[in-house]
Amino acid sequence: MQESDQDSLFVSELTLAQAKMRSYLAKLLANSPSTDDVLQECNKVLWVKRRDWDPDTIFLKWAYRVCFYQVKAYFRNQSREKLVFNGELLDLLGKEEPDESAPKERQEAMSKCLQKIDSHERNLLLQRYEGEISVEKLANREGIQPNTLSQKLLRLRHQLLICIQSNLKTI
Amino acid sequence: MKKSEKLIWKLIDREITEEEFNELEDELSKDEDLRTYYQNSIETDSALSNRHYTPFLNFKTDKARKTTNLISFVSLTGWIAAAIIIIFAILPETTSNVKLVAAENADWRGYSVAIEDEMPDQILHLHSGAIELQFPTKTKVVIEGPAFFRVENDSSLHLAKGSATVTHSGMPETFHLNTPLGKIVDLGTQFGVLVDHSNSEATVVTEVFDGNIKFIGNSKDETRFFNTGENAIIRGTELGQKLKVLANHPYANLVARPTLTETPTQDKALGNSSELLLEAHKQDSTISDFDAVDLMLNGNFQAQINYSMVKGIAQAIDQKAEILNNAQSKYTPQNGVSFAEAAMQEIEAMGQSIVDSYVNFSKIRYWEACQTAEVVWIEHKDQAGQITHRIPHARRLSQPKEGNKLLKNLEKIREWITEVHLIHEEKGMGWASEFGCPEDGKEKFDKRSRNLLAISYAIDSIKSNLD
Repeated sequence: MQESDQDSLFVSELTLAQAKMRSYLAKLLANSPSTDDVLQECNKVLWVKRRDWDPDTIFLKWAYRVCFYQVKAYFRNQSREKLVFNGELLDLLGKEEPDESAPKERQEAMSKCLQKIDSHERNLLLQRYEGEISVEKLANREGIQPNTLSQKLLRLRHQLLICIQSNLKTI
Repeated sequence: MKKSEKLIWKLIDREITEEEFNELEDELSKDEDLRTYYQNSIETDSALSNRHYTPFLNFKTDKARKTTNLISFVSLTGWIAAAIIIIFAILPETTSNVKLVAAENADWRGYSVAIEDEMPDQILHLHSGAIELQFPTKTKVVIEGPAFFRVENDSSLHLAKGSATVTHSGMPETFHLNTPLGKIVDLGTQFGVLVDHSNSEATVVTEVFDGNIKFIGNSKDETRFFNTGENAIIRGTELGQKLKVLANHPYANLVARPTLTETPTQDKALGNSSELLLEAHKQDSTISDFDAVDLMLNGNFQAQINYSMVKGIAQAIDQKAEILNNAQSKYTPQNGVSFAEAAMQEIEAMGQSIVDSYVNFSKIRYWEACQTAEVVWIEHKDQAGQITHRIPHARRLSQPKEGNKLLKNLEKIREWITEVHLIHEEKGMGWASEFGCPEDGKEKFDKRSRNLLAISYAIDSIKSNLD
């Protein structure tokens, strides 16, 4: 295969891996706001090392390894992170890779599960994730305490998660 | 909902206290199920958060906003942005009118396509199995893995690696298949293609099962037509570099697999093969019919003729040299007469034939005069471990072998003549030998001296002709 084809394939794999890589990184980084920055660093490293990748092997396996070491490097260089897992737990989390379900399948399962949630609650959840309205403002608009709303959102996400996992198992 | 699960969501929201974080750390270290819950929570949170710019999401979002988020996302770094832009450019936002109509044990790597899906405009990796595509140009293509390919548009397929059978019943020249070495234009026919590559070289094997095709190499002057039953092994390296085309090679017989819904044509199939095959077994019996140089000169007719002549000359010289070698091995010196003196006439004649030859030996290339490479066969197997095809490659030898012995024999001839010359020098210009008395000692000596120089020049030239 010519280099241009291999690069094209690499970019394709890298694209498809973005969501999984980000989830993996978010887990190791305790959902740090720097997750996207580390993801971009990983993308850079993967691009530089792209000739090391054998197209006959599973891209994500290789990408996860690179991500893991990038996280370690990030923690070494960033002392400002408050929520940092201890080394033993980090190794444990690093070894346990996300399941193989494609992001597309998860999205489809999520779409189905969202339909099962009460429309008012679904809108609350989606508005929260729109990122344009704070929990406080949303709680004010709903006429409830922010803490109550937080608990409600927490419960909704738990329900959603259980539903998604159940759907993924049946796919 | 357990307390530890609540703590996970608080962690994800970054609202967890230090004390709660330490507690969660302990729980996560002990509880594998909780770690799985944590992973799934993160993925659910990501799915909810990313829905504006994830290209796979089903939610309807405002287009302008989608673009804004995308740019924001990709502008996080400088140069990688270019790659990410390419990423989104090749994502299956737009699809062709080419449909995947059948599949057989298709194992995709990366992006996968389901039956009845339209093919995305991106390079795909079919790790194993087979698929059937239907193009709007009335073209049906069966691709067999392992394959890397891309549906470029409604009338064009790029096959980077793998094998395919193309059946075109539309208007001539309305479909073409791109390979790393050039384009195959379908003129209304059925043909097979096999694309393989090493690190430095690509090989395209094509055979016309019915009708005719036109192969247009990446270099403009390389257009070939092939008709029913004809095949070609095409080799090349970089784009635009001159290709080596070996037409109608006896080992390049491909087997058609026009569709996945019918059994393969049996007239050409070998044994239980339902795949595109090379008649590999034929190779073993006739493997010595060609050498690595023959392989490398595919497509260069002039060089092939030259090499054939060199091989003929090498064989003629070797026959005579072998007679002298045999004689030398059986020779017992008598009265202090060496073999060189006893065989002086034959040795002189041999030297003279080299110097006064019709052939300019100094033009012969090093790799024509000894063996610098060997033929190796790369085997490709199917999932069951059966060899589906074998492709010959030339592999350079770390230490050259004698090969046709041309260089070796020239050096031997020079050695014999040098021995004669030294005897002559030692005995003096009035030397008279019972095995061939030089009539004019000095003139003969000078002439031999010139011959030695000429033979040495030829040998040195050959050794330096490495192109």
